[in-house]
Amino acid sequence: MNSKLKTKIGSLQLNNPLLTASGTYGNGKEFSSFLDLHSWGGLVTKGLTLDSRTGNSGIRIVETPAGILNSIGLQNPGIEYFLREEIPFLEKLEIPVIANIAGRRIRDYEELARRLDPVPAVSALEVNVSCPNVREGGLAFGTNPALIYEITSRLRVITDKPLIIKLTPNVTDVGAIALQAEKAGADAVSLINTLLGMEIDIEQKKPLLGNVVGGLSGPAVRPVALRMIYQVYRQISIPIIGMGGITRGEDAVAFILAGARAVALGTVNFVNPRAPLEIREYILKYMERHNFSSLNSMVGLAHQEREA
Amino acid sequence: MLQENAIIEINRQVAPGIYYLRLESPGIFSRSHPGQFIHINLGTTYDPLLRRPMSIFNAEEDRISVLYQVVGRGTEILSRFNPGASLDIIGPLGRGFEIKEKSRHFLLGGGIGSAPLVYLAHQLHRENRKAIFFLGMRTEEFLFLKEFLPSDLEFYFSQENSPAGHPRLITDLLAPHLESPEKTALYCCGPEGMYRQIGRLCGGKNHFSIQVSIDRRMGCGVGTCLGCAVKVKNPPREEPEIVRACVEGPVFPWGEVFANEL
Ligand SMILES: Cc1cc2nc3c(=O)[nH]c(=O)nc-3n(C[C@H](O)[C@H](O)[C@H](O)COP(=O)(O)OP(=O)(O)OC[C@H]3O[C@@H](n4cnc5c(N)ncnc54)[C@H](O)[C@@H]3O)c2cc1C
Ligand SMILES: Cc1cc2nc3c(=O)[nH]c(=O)nc-3n(C[C@H](O)[C@H](O)[C@H](O)COP(=O)(O)O)c2cc1C
Repeated sequence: MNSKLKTKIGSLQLNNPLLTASGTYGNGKEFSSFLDLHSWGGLVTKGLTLDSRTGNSGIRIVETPAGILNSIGLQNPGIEYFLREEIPFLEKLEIPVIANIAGRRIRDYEELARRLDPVPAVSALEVNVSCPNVREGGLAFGTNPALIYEITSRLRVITDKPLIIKLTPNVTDVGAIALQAEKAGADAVSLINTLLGMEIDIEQKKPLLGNVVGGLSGPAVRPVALRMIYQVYRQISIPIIGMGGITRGEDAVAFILAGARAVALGTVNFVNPRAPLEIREYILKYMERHNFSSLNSMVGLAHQEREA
Repeated sequence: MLQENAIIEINRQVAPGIYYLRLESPGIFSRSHPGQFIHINLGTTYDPLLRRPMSIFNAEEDRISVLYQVVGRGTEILSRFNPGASLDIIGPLGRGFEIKEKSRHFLLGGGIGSAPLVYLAHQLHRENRKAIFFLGMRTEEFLFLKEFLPSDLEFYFSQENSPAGHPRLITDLLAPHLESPEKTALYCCGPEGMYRQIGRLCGGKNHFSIQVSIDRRMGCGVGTCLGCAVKVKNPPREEPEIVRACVEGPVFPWGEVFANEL
């Protein structure tokens, strides 16, 4: 371990800036045969809802140029099962676990926060207000600044755990939304969730995904994610967790320079389970090459005044 | 399950558009079981992005092999790898065929779906069990498979383009063998339409135990992305359950997937 990589998200201490992106890593178990889970800075769980959800039917995952479209539909066994069956594994981990929560109504989020607040193994909450794959909800919150304010302030009352609001890229002004999360007391924002997209099967002459639309992730979205992080960094002062298409060390460094204090890896895990190790090595070498003694001193450096 | 850099020994076309790939992969070899698969990384670029799932076609002497059909970009890229190069693979993945204690073992392969059954045929042969291989195909494109099977294995094939009076479907081959009341295990891999027809012939009779390998588009292959969902019904549970083809499958008892069609 190298203390140069330490970073903080609110009161949450991370040994390195690499987090798992929600929904791409299960709760870690599946990957433990490829690497030591403690190589991560922290583990973000699969999206949790109050009741179990079976997810969408039909084709749920489609490869697109340098990316994938998914319409899993928040399949998960529900909070009850999570607390009973998953927490025993997670509480043995010596890295912070961040629970990702999703709901249909504000009440659902409140209830989830109430249930998770007393759980010692859960170090922080990431609030998914932006899932594109659930017809009833998620995205509706994520695109409305007033609702973001409302939901954040209600959760703030319920828990002192670091509260991370996960933003959707499917809006025209992501900064305005981030600002409301900050005003309402969020400790951090994370972005981006997936970009809404679709694919058509031209032989069958119909949409390929069972859910018609899905969320785009992977390298294809990286420049969009980077731009949004850069933009949001200029408008808020709480930490940003950056994600969207990171596959290599260079990508992670770019996100940090744009303003991310931590970064999450999602789709890349499906291709290269050792990506976090390679990326961590790269960041260290980069820091050496550029004489950075702490990760923190790199954050947002791309915003320096440009020379004429 | 492990990640291994496997050296390519052979990657050669064995029939039009069909390739035989043999890899030196001692770790995966020693853990694998018929019906399981590997997940192949196609190279260093991220387009195409995902790994490609391929059934283990055979496993012997620290080697595993795969039989694949070129159907798109990924398999086309795979076909261009030369011997000596290495491939980043993950495996063995999933739950394979369970060899049942029955007096006969029927292996039913539809086209390229026959791949994992070749491995199973060798395993049954090693265990001295009585097996018959049934191969269904469009034309004669998969006849070469016989060369990869134990030489004394009973083998039948059907062709959709056969003249009248000759077997056209795999069920035409199978039907005459079903009259005996002998306890029989059926292991199937092919299109789902084939599973339905086989089910219609044998379903509901308890001296047949049928397993099928379910094909889904896969993301991670290790159970986290939940892309390869399969709806199964496991009595006495009333509600169907959603499970993962890559972890709980790809092989399932026929009834779990198709029971509501009986
Ligand atoms: C567990 C498992 C084992 C498999 N074993 C073998 C094997 O032994 N030999 C073999 O040749 N193939 C096998 N396949 C299928 C193989 O993975 C796909 O043919 C391959 O991924 C296609 O890649 P591509 O880039 O060439 O095609 P793409 O360009 O991705 O697609 C070409 C066409 O195939 C369709 N397609 C892609 N993936 C799938 C899929 N999983 N199921 C159905 N249609 C699909 C696409 O819609 C498109 O029409 C297996 C699949 C699974 C899930
Ligand atoms: C299969 C899949 C499932 C996902 N599930 C969730 C989820 O449950 N909750 C959530 O907040 N984000 C979810 N996401 C979004 C990711 O956490 C991440 O924001 C997005 O994929 C961008 O990062 P990437 O390009 O590195 O994958 C999911 C993404 C994928 C690909």
